[in-house]
Amino acid sequence: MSSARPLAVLLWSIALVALTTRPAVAADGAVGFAEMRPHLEKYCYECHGDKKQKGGVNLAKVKSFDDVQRDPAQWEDILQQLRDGEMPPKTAKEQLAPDLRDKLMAFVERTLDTLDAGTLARDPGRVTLHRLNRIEYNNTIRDLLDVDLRPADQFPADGVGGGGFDNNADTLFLPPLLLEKLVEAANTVLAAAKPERLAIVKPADDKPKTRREAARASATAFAKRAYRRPVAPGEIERLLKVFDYCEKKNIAYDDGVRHMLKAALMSPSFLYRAEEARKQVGAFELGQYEMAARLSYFLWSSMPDEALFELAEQKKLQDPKVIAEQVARMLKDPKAKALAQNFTGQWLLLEQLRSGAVGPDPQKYPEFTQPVREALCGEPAAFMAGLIDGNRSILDLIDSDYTWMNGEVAHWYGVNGPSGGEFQEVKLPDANRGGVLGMAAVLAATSHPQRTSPVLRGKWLLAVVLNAPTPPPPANVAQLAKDDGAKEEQSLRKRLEKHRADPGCAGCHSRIDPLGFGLENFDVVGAWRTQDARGEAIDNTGTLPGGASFSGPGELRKILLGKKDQFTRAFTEKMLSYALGRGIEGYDRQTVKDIAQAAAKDGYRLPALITAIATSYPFRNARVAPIVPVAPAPEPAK
Amino acid sequence: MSTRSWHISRRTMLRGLGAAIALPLLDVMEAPTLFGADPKVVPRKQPVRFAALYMPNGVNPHHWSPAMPGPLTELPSITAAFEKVKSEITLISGLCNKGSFPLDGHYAKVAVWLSGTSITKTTGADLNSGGISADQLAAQFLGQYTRLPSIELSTHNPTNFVDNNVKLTALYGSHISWSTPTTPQTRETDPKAAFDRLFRGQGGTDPGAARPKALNPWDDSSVLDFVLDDSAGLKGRLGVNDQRKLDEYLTSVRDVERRIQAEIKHVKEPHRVDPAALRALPELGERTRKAGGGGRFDTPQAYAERVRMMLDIILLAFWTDSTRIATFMFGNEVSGQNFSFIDGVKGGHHDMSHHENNADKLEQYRKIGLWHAQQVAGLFERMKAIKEGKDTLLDNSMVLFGSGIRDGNAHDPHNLPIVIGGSGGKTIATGRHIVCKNETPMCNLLGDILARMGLQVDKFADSTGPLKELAG
Repeated sequence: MSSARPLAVLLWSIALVALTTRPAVAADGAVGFAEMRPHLEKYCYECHGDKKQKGGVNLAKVKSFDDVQRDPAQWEDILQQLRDGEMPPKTAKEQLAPDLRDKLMAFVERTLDTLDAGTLARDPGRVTLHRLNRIEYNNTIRDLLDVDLRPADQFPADGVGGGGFDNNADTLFLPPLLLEKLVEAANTVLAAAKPERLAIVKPADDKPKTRREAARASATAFAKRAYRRPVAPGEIERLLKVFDYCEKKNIAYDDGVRHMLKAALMSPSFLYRAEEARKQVGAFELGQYEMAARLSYFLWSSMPDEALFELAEQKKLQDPKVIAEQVARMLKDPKAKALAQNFTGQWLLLEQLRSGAVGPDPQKYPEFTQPVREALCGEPAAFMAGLIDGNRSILDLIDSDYTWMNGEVAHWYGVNGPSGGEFQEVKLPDANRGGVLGMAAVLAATSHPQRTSPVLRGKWLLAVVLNAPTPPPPANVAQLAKDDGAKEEQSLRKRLEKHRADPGCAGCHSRIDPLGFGLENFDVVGAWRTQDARGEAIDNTGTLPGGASFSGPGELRKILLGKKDQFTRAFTEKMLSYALGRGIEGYDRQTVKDIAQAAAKDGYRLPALITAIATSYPFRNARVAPIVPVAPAPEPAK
Repeated sequence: MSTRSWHISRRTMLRGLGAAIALPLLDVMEAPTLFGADPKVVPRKQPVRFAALYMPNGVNPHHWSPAMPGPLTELPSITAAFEKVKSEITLISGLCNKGSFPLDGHYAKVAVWLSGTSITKTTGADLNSGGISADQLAAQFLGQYTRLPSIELSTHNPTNFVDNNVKLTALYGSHISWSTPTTPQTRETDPKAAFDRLFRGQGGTDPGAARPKALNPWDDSSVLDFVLDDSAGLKGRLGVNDQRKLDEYLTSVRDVERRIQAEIKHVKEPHRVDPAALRALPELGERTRKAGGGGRFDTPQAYAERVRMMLDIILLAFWTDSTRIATFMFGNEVSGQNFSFIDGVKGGHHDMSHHENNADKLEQYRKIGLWHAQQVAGLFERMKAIKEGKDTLLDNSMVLFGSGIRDGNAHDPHNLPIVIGGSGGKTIATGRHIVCKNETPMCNLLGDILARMGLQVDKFADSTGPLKELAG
């Protein structure tokens, strides 16, 4: 893969150079635009035309394909609004039919694809000072001190932002509540650490000067690893002040050094990931130690190991070949389980289920116990780990003839499988299950406590698997049962059909509901059923807006497999967001496509996709201030 | 806009505190309890406390507001929960946060409940509530008088979700307290941890046994001084957003230093705490220990008990004057909490709130709202039973209870369900239903609350003036 990317870039640049001179592209765009323009007129001009320019946007001024190409940022924005269903607004007279919306989006997307990258300033995205989250803190302490106490389990839970992950730097805070617990955690882990691991240098004699020099040696050895970078003498001197304080109080040498090391564990250089001085303007290549940390926190949720530190010292960690080798090495390490564990549950939106904030009703489903819940949430993570270890395709996440089970999971599915707590690969007996759509945790997380919800499942599928989320329902519609006294006796399907007859609902629900009905054979806790609660046969058929029909989860999965490139891009966005600790923005489009393409070329294998992320432009570069366009902005009028 | 000037005041105040922090050498922690060995209740003017209790997902609108303004006589079936304390409460209709109107859905209404501002639409990168919340503003000025400036509690961890449909992080729906527009106050969700933080050594356990023996348990001054020093070295190399993160850290360091000072002060001056409060502590401590951790899997019944513990922690924190400001969230917005432990309820909270005018769902929604009101009513009753001189703890408090939306089905941000327990030191003419003109800013009420806490606020966010009816 490492060679695929430069090739892709090369081909890309050739395409870009050719753009202005190749008439075919322009002609194609002109035809596309001619086709699209009447729709813009019908659906957009009312608010964004010559009469009104809401938001300062006048699309009537866009008269040719050249005009379209002149303002890529605006079209990026329009694409997003179309995708989010925000435009046209629900109050507008003319509403876009879903297939026309898709067509318009495809046109804008094609246009953006053919744009000269030179007009779009390359932007690696902003990185914010990144506090170690709970898992990163636990793992870092484990690898730094060889203490596996998981003190951060007592910390307040980290919220999520960006792509929906709790390692999103902008949404990691350090409130007083956490600070108090960090102090306690530092006390606890230092008390538990073995002396040799702390590398406390013993003074040769009891002279104050000798003691201070030994303390200095201790601080130097410790801080380099704790801060994950070389440490300046001034920083050591600051640490020694804490030792001095203890000396004044006649505290035993070891205790004094320990107190000083506690200060190191409270230093922002330990608690946050910011190893290099930031350049204040423009994009910059990340420094060597920062690259080491990026790699280790992406793949291990922990600090770099000696091998990474060594490569950083040799300044090799910006070399794509070395990065690819390191990714391969690191993925083989047991610590890489962290990636599968931390990424998967959050990607699939299972954390609310895992924590117990939502889930099947315990009275109705008493067998859905806490151990069952935990085991079932472990299944997708084990599956993902299997993709990494077995160098397998991410398309298995959509459809597979196997899954991973431990004793609890096998018992839950009623499969003759493994016993005990370890997860193992198990061949599935039929096509009912396979991929994440057949996993009980996913099915339970997308149900109400006492009944299934095709709407929740359909919405989940669109948002998670296809990255095509639907906008929220307009306020005060959803009067599902207003005119119907006998609603409880009606089947859910009938009620939803009635619902879809409402044109205000049909746009989205014609996309949402059929997908959900394809999974109706699974009950609230993910068990297979052929009859619903009222004893009627489950109708698991559906027809998608595009016309494709299916019956049951097996056929639904085949349809989704047909959208494998859309899925790959959706998956790439999520994993890139996790890797970078920030949300994915418009300027990441090309990166996402490149990574998805690299993975596709390599059989959609997950390790190839991970390598493509680790060698990508935003993974290796950063900025702090917004990238300024090439042309200087005019001075604002005073 | 008025919030901007508060920020400057706050900085000034923090600087003042910073100067005081470095002074004493923390050697005074010999006393066996935080409150002194021989607590005496000294008659004095009791402080006014403020709590805000947030109920997610709105309320069944047909069973909340009495039909008429004026004295509370017959209460609708949800607010009837307050029957025993109805002479101590004030129901207010007609309030809203206009700043919460522009964005559809739930989250935009929560983060600004106590700030009256507008959130920035973001999945996280530009997280901004638009302003500081009223409780945090009060804490920044009054926090110096108590061991903790404020406490923020909940039963659920923040919702791990970025809603790509509306391009919002669920963090907005998980926080009502914001110490700055960009800093949500993290909530403690574990009752035991919340209890221990307030009352360690008073029935709470002290986990900090691992320090060098010669240093007293609170001696982290050298470490915290180091952090301030070390951060200054780092700061120059950072970008703007990074500096904001570092500032956030430094603010926390100063808060903790301030807290250490407060703890020392409380040991130096035997604290004037009602001995009855001290006697009540071990029992609550025991309950929290039995309950296990927060934010983890538990049964719906255990959820109900956790709610009660959190409310009792607020009560004891107020009673012991450990803090005068508290917020609590029954759940995060869009909470799917299963309420099947209530007879006749068969589902999750959010599902029921989208009742679609279905009579059966409306009834379940009503019952869930009633359960919330009952928990709060119980708190009011317990606070009323606690004497403070001639008055009661409830008299000396203002406990705001309500939601950021009214009818959950429509995410209706008008006419918010709002009730206040207590009279803020006998300054609110309680026992009445006040009906404000429609779209009266909720900030008028918040401004009044701040004024009763002793903060002179000319204008709070979009407030247009005091709620004159409050004083009777």
